[in-house]
Amino acid sequence: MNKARVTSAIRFQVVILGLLALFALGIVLNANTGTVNIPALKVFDIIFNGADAGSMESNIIWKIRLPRLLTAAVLGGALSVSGFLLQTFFRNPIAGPFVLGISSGAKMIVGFVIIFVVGAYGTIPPYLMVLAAFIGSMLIMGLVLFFSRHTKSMPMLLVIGIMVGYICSAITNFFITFAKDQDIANLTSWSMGSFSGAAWGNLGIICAIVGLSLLLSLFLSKPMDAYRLGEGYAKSMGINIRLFRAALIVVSSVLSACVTAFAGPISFVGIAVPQIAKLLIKSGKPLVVIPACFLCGAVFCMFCDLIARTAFAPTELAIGTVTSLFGAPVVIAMMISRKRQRT
Amino acid sequence: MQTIRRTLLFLLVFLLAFSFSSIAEQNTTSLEGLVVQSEEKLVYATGFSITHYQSGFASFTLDAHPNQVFLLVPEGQLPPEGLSENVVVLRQPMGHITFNSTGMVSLVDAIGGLDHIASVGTDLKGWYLDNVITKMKAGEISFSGNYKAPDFETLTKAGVQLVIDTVRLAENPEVIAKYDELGIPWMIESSSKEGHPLGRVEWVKLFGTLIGMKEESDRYFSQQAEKVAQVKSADATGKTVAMVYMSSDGSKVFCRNGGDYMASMINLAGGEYIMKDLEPGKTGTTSVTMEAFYAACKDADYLFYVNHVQKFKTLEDMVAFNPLFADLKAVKEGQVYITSPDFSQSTAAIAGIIADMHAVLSNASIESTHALNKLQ
Repeated sequence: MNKARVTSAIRFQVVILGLLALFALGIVLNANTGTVNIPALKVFDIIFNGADAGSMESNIIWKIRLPRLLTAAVLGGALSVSGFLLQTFFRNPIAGPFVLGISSGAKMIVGFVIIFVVGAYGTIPPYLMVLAAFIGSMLIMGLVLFFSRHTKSMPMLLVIGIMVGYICSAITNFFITFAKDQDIANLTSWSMGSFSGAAWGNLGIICAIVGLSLLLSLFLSKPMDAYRLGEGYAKSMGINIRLFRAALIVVSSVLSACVTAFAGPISFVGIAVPQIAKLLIKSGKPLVVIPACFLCGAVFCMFCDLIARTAFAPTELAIGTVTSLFGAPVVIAMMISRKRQRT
Repeated sequence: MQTIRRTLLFLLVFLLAFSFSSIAEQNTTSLEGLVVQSEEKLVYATGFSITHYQSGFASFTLDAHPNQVFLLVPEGQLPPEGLSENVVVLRQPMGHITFNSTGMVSLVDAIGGLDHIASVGTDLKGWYLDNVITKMKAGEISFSGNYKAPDFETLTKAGVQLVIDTVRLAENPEVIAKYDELGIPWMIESSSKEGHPLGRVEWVKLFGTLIGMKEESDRYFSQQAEKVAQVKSADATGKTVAMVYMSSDGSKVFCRNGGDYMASMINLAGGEYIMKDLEPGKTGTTSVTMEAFYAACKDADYLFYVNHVQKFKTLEDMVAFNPLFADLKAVKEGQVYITSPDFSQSTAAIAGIIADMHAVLSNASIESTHALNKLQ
């Protein structure tokens, strides 16, 4: 038993160190790669010595590449943790951050803003779009919380979340009926996700929200561990299931709402990356999986974003396209492996 | 065995010959009985051709669907007999036309031909052309539905003689199939593929011929070409110009391609389009990364921001929307102009826009023109 624990601890440390190394590599590659060729030594000089302040190269590094790669890392990690929380909650490996209709709710409100508000006023401050997406996500979260009080069945709650998502999509399509072609193109572009608009101001807000949510999720790790062994067992350990459920939904929703608000809906990270993290750690204990999930998600998104902005430069791929291309095969492999294990 | 082989070979050759002759027959246009008078001389446009016949007949073909020939039959006359299946007969006067192309409506408006338009595919709030707005409010021109989902009942009831659509119609074959089923003639105008700005304006000759206003359309085109020639003859300003717009959430930036007509307009106005190497053989726009946009446009003397989505009122609005703008030379020097709402919609305004661009590029103190408003 002790040997197993020691092995597990060593494995965890090795994985975390490996992920940190990949994270560092991701930062270096993203800072050094882009449409404009800037020598690596110059990049180092600009970042650590503040060289050539105000020059084109310095602006590209400080105002475009650095905020973008850090935003991709933090939001990727947030999405991954959100997915893990929901997969644990629903005991379903393909439950994702957007399964409860979060992204559909965000798209509905963003669609309203693009089609009616921008159309009427001509221009809106960028924070309004972020706020719109956040409000949409939180609205749906509130609805799901309301329904979660009236049903104890997890599959039922999942179905309710999916149905709510369909309702939001229907309302969005209704708005689109009255939209100009340009508005539809804008909404489609938003719904494919992008880290392109990343800025230092937003990054500060993102870090605050994600940091607090991560802390809360770590506090929830013990009740989650008990919940994994069954609802009855968790109750017997003194856990208030109702409160626990609400807290889990809130934390997960805030994380995914944050991603949707600042980068649009990004597919597959929340479903595939928690599976990768658990495979690496070979453990389901939330206290170890949560940090691994975060790092894994950060690394995954940084590399996907690098591909998205360089593969066909200067044209940029939607981040959702790249994450789906890499994320979907993982989900398929996981489903096949699960089926094989059962048989 | 040899006999069987010979027989099979003969059958194969016969079948092939029959197939080729059928194809050849489909591609041959029979306009027997019509004597050609002249071919329309086109200076810049490449997307269509017009043939004039004696007795007032005319025919035109379009690059967008070259297998069809449109035959204009003058009022009171009959079309010749034995026409091929690929000939679409249009009987003048053409008083019930549906236009799903806002740019081409502006040309018809410019020659005073709006009375020939029965309906349009853009609703009232999408228009910036005063005469069209007036006629729509008066009920003289109606909205007959979006090009993707036209109101077939309204079109059928109104007895529409021709639907004129843009190249986007080709993306909706089910709509084309419905037009064919209902016997509604349709055509695709490909003016958006013209690289030269005056190529787009020259399509006025096609519509002038269509609605029996050839003299007016010829006169109008000559005036526009002369206007551009006057600007072109002036000295080049040597100023570089960037032309972009961003998506609502600021995550995507769209730049005009080097081969686009707006890039040509800048060059004709005596400026130099700074992203001329971006897709030099294509019209339209390309979405580029923020890095590519910044690197290419940071030193441009002028920034023309296209009024598609954001309608910035001040430079402060623009910089608040995306702080990267603050580092552009044009923004620092206050040489940012936002285009007028009809900039993209009005093909008829092209020559005027080129003149406005030249005025702005030659004199940095100009606050605004019809097409370009300076952001303070």
